[in-house]
Amino acid sequence: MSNSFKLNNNTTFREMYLSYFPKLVHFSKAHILSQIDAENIVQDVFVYLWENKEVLNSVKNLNAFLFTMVKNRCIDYLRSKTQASGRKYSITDVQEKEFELKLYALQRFDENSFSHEEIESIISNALETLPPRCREIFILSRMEGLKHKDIAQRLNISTNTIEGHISTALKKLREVLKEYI
Amino acid sequence: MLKNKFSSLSGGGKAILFRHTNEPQWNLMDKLLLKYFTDSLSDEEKAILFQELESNPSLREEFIKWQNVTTLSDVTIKKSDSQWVSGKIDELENIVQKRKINRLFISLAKYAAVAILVSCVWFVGNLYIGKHKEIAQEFTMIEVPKGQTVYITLPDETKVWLSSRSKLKFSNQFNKSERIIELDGEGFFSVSKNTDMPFIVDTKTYDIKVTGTQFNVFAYSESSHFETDLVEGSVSVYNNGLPEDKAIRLQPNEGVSFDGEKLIKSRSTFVSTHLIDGIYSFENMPFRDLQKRLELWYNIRFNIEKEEILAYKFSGKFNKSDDIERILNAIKETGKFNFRIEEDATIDIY
Repeated sequence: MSNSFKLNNNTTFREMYLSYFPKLVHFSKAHILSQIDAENIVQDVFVYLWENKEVLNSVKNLNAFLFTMVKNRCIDYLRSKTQASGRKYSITDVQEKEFELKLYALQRFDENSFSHEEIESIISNALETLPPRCREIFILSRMEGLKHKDIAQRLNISTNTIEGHISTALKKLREVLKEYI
Repeated sequence: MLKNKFSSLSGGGKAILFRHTNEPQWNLMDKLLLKYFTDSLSDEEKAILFQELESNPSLREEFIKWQNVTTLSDVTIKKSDSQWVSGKIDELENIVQKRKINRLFISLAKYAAVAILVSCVWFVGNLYIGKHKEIAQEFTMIEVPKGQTVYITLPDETKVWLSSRSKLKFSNQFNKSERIIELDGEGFFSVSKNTDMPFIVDTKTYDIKVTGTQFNVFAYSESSHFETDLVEGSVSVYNNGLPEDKAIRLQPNEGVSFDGEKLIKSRSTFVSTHLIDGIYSFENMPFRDLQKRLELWYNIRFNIEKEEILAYKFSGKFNKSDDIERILNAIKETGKFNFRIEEDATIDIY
């Protein structure tokens, strides 16, 4: 298959794609807020890499490299959203301010300072220490992407309760991730 | 200021944000901030939070910290990821394929002043290989309009100059598993070197196989005339109905042409410039040979009344984008013949 060509670190393009594409989309969406645009940005990055495979040969830290490429494109995206001339559709003042804040946070995000294995194990260890209900709700919301009202229906509880549990989980994560944020 | 806003909202009775209105400001904003990251802020609450964030640097630092917590926990693999990611990698392949064709369009548009027909033929036949894997073979076809010369770069960086009315076809496997192109017409090739994957020009009767070289091929399917001339490197030419060991090998500045029966090797007289700059120059060329080219390039037929004209020799040059009338007028100046263009693209020479 054509996407199975080997990269210098002996993984194939396909393996790289399958392991990074979702992470990069989630990363992008956390800042630009649109799932479709996030997928398009990340897809564009992989199209570029496919056509310029030789770029990957000199990359030492693939993780940081990919996150930097996506981050830069997201920054461009947010800049165009916060400049009236770059927008196709008008947005409200609140939306514009939200994009400005996301841009501000993204510019300060340091993609070179973390490894995924590390973060994933910190997060899963932290989730283990949460009360079972709290953990269950957080996983349904953030890992399985369910909406609050769907979780409310499924577990037969109020959305306020859900918000409370998610806040608790986020507070816990903030505590364990304090050196990475 | 913030307190005022808050009390005016709760005082107005329409948007009750929090029950404990006597909590300090920072606490209210921290709560709003956390609520924002649990995706449960109303637009009104967002407006209040964002306004405060604009003027409050320490709250902005908090925003960044919560954003990073959210980002890091979002980046971990989700259960449903494996379901959609394989669809996305198929989509990627399609995008890459389409872009290749678009790039081809761009390079064509750059060198040819007129529209070129590039057609992609999909053969989504049910070709099952091994474990029922469906292979879709896609072809790119380039047709050069009458009077035009086209320059293209193939996916392996090989450069090709194509003559008037030539057709070139290659599949989406080109430069992946093979380097085979089909040519009906005339082309000058500057082939990029790849000893593992020979470059093969497949014509009506003969195939030409090279690894990296410069050569010309003249092989219009509607004419029995075939010739190839080597400028650099080495090529082998073989009848595509015969085994490859019957091939004729050429050294630089040698050529072969078909005399009606077999291939004859000779010193090459080929000048590659006419394909590259569109100017065709010829020296002491019998009208017989010139006629072959003009007929194929301009899609016309000559009707020659006086047999001896065929042997007349001509020298000169013309721009291939000129129309045939202008070219014949120039040749006529030598005083050796007259011509008349008939309606059905036939030209009487007398």
